[in-house]
Amino acid sequence: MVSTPAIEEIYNPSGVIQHLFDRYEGSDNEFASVVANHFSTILFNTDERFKQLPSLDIHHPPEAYTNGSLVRFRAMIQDTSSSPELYVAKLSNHRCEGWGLSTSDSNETSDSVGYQDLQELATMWAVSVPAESSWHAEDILLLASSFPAHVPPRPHKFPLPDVSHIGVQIKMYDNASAQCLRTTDIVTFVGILSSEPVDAELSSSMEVPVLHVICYQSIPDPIPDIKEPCSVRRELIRWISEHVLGGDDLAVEWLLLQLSSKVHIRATPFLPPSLTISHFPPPPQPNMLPTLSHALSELLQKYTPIPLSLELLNTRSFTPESREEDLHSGYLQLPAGTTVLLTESAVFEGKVAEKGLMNIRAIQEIMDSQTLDYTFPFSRFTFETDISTVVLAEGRKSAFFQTSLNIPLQSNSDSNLYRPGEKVAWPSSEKLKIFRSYIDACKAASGKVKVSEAVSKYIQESFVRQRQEDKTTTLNDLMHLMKAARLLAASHLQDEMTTEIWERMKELEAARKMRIASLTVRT
Amino acid sequence: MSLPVIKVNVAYDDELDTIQTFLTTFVGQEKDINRGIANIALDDDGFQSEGPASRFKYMQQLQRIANREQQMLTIELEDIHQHQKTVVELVARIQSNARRYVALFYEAVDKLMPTPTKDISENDEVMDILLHQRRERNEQTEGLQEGFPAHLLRRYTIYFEPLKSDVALAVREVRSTHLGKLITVRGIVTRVSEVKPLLLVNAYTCDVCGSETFQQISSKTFSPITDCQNESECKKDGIRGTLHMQTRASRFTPFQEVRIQEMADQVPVGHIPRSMTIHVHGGLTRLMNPGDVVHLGGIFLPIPYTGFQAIRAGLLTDTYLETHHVHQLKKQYSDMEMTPQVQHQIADMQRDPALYNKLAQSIAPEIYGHVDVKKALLLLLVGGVTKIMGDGMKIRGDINVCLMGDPGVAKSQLLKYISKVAPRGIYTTGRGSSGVGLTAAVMRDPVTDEMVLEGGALVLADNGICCIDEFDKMEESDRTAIHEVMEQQTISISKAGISTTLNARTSILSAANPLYGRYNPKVSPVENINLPAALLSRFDLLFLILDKPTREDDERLAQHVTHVHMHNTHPQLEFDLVDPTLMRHYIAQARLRRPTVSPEVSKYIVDSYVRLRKLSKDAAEQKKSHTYTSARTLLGVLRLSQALARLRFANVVQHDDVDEALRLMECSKESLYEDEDREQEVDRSVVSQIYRLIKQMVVEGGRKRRKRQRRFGRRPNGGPDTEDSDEDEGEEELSMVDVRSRVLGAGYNEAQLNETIIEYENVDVWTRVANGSRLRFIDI
Repeated sequence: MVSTPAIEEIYNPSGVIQHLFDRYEGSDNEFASVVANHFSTILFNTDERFKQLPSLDIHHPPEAYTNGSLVRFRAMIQDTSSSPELYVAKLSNHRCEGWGLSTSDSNETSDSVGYQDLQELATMWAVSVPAESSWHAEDILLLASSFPAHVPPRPHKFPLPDVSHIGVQIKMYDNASAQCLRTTDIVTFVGILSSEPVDAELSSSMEVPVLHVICYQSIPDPIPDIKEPCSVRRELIRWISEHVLGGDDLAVEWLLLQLSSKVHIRATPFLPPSLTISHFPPPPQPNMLPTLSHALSELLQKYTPIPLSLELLNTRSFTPESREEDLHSGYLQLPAGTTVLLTESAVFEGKVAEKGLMNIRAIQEIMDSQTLDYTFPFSRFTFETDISTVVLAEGRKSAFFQTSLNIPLQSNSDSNLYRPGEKVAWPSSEKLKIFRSYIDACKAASGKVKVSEAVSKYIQESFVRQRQEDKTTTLNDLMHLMKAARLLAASHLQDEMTTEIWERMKELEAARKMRIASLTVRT
Repeated sequence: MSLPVIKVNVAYDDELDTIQTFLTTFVGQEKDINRGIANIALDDDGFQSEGPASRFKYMQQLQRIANREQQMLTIELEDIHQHQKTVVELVARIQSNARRYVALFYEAVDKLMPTPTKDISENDEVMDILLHQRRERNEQTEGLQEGFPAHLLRRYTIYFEPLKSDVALAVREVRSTHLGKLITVRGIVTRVSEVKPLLLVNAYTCDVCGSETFQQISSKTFSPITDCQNESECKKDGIRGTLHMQTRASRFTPFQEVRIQEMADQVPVGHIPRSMTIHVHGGLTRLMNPGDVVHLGGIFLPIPYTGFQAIRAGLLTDTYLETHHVHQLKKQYSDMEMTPQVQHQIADMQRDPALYNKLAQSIAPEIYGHVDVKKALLLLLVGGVTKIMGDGMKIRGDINVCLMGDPGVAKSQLLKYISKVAPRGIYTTGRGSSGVGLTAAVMRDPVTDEMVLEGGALVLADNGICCIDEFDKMEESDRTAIHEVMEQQTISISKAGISTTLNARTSILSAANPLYGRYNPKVSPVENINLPAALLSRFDLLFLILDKPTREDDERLAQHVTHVHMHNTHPQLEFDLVDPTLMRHYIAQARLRRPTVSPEVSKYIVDSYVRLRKLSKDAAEQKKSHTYTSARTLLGVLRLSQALARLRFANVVQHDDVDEALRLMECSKESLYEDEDREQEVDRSVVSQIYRLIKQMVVEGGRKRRKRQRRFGRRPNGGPDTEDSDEDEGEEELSMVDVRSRVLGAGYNEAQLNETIIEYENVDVWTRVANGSRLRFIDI
């Protein structure tokens, strides 16, 4: 049975809103939530209806739509610091005025509007989700792009520079629910698109796209169900090892642990670790991204490489900063669950300026405590992040950062670690889909791993024994092992840590330590 | 949220009468004694003709305004409250519809304005002279031409000062329901515009008839009048005379636009602070600077978008606060606010005898063990008393602590925790920052292109704590900079033409690794520590933390870690954790105390110092020494005891404090003792410790009594009367309450105390009398 398409709502939203307004008899401040409920029950009901809504994204920029059309926009909230605005909710002729419905013949001066007709709306700035992999956006019918290329009106409000994106000013009429939204949240907005000057005071201010939000939703992604996790895991490791990291299984094992980590509980023992892959050979030409970067962008939903160089560190912003009451974005203002790959192959000798030092400190702070400081003129506010970091270093360890895990790479001497994306032997698209779901499942599982009493005792005894044999083991080693063992259990999609996993973890750790030791001796 | 529309039954004429009565009859209690005295002087001089009116607060002000001595009239709502004895009436109406009442007050004041008693003189401004002339002309031209508008003749502005009990809102709490109301907002000033003149009344002259036309401006934009509006001349004749704007006759007022932002404690966690626009006029301009924390009382109003923008933007409006009252809180940003609830909690904490232990354990609770280190860190946070002698010499009160130990004993974590808890805590590593980064740097200011001095970590931590990690890895040159900071608490800079001394009154908490990375027991302690004696002696406490694997310790540590992973939380501790904010408040309060040292206690300290020096000499002969006991040690003991007294909110340092300080100094080397040595020490079981503590109380009590008796008796041959001591002890009785508070204060619990009492009762050392409320020693 085909469900009736919600034609009226999609093609004539203003009419529907006016209709609802005419029938509405409650108090004025509840009207916005009534509208939100009405539209969300109709539009979010089924996936099909949802897909009928035209989407606002990089391939369908605001220039593709006429003023007044209903669109949906999946976005990351970048800036919530704008003050709320007051708008005229209804005119004396009982016309609803919210959602940009007012027409140009409203010549009524403000004198005839009483305070009781004014209501508040919340404004914020949202951008298309940064670091989102291209495959994650749906299969879109790429219409012939005859629109003018979209020039983002305020590029300083997007975290990654020189990346095409859309920035939209969001106006939310349901003020109460707008208070729950925070920066870096990913939300799908549905509303009426129009174009207005950003600062109504100055007549010369530029026009930005404005979305008058009717309803919104932010649902977390569903956790996929993987059959036969062990074989998927083995295949994934084999593929990465063979095609991406030059045959080094141990490094891939550790990489997989890092990819399975996510912030679930914000206490130090449970925060995700950070990984350095050391002894990573430099690229044949500078500014080449390693195959690992291309692989990660295909495997992960949210991923971005940051090729570090002294120039980048000294000149670009990594932390968001509020200048003249506008929150400028920085590299690290990324949505939760993003993985960042930091490469140091472009770092040569030189001076690190004060800004560079602050940036390095900010990245280190993310690695250590998953917090990011936003700078304001007279204060700093700390925000929580959930960013997983992988560093590629040429030497024994990273030049700038101290990460909790370090695995030296030992690849086959004839392997090419810097293949461009086209030359990589990708697995079939079904396989890729399975790999992607698998990694998502691992991330979700890392929050659920439990340790039973018996296993706990086993671990304690094993630690005490180890301490007596080798006086150099410390408490830090135990904490480090436990964190990694949790991730290992998660990467097997098990929700309970077993003694086998513990033993396997100890093997992996011993192999890693041995490799580090052997390389130190050699150099 | 739209505004509720309510019908307010207010007869504005009655209100006008009420206001007039208030203004004429209100007698202010002069809270400022100086002003009261000054006012009396005015009376005596007979300057004012109206004797009784000079006590009337507002009439006095009106007179001054009439004499052009005052331009701002502030109506305090507190006064109206007092006058009417209730807030529900006029005050509430003013608060809810402030602008209307401003107009009413203007009307009332204009009616009540007395005649000026001071004549126009050459000291007055042009405007005053013009107004004077106009007023005279007004009187002359009654009936011929309409008089000048009242608002032009006004040379004052009326402001309301909100009630003192008004709650200061945060920017995000100000909603559309507050439109038109008188509210108080608190925030930090981020941006201040230039002061510009705002046009209130525009004056034109006609070049045909020469008459003046006035136009009152009430919005941001206006269209100028072009044709002469004079009824009696130009218009009557049908002539369209051109009008020219006369700026000298127009009325302007200074205007400044300010942006305030929310402060950290007003923003819910995880949200970005909001800002608000503030307009200040007249005498309120130039009062605020960026960075000030202010309470602003004013009316929340909308500015309508005008013209073209209004149509495009759908009739949106922006909002602002028209300020009536500015109250500066502090010139610096500080986020410690004492609420009554917190004070209550602190009072409770003071009464708790086991406070010292509780606070110490609450420091870095995730780190297991290291109780003594935590105690020392607690004392570091409290600090001793800084004294400035009459001749300018300063005796520092900050305590410096060094943690030296093997890797993996959580030193860095302790440092990081302390840098977060202390109000001005800075964390830095010795390896990363150069001496310049630690002390100060000379930089070129981009704006003025001059050399400017910028403080490094130690200067930034002035009056705070500087945590330096990897102390031993610092360059030699950097370490010398630390020397000066640690003792003189200043930094002298002489670079690039700038030579100055900066204050750096910080406590230094440093962490270091021994010479070979791990402590090497085969080498003497001095070599392991690898810090020069000069620097070592500047540290009051040096903790050597070794990582020695023992079965129980390892088991306990492992249990702690696995527990965290099993249950996703820390293991339940045996006591309640003190909340970090509460601890900060408590420490802030403790730092206000300045305990003194009584002569007895100082004698005791001197004795202990002499003993320590002797021990050090002996140890040096046996080649077992590792510290240098110098005069600085004496000061160190003093500082630690002062810190302990401060923790108790006491004003006098007592013996126990000195003992605890000495104990901390001794046990800082505890890790070093070999296991065999440990057994040779005195029996350290809990029961014996408690017994010794009680015994000491007895001795002290005896000493006190002996001191009292000394005044009375001397033996016949002149020697001191000391032989009574043994007899006194035999009949010694102690109150259980004292015993209990002392024992609990030393860190033991009730169960252990009871155990001790029962055990020693069985051996007939003491017995409980008077229903268990006193403890008597049995004399054998």
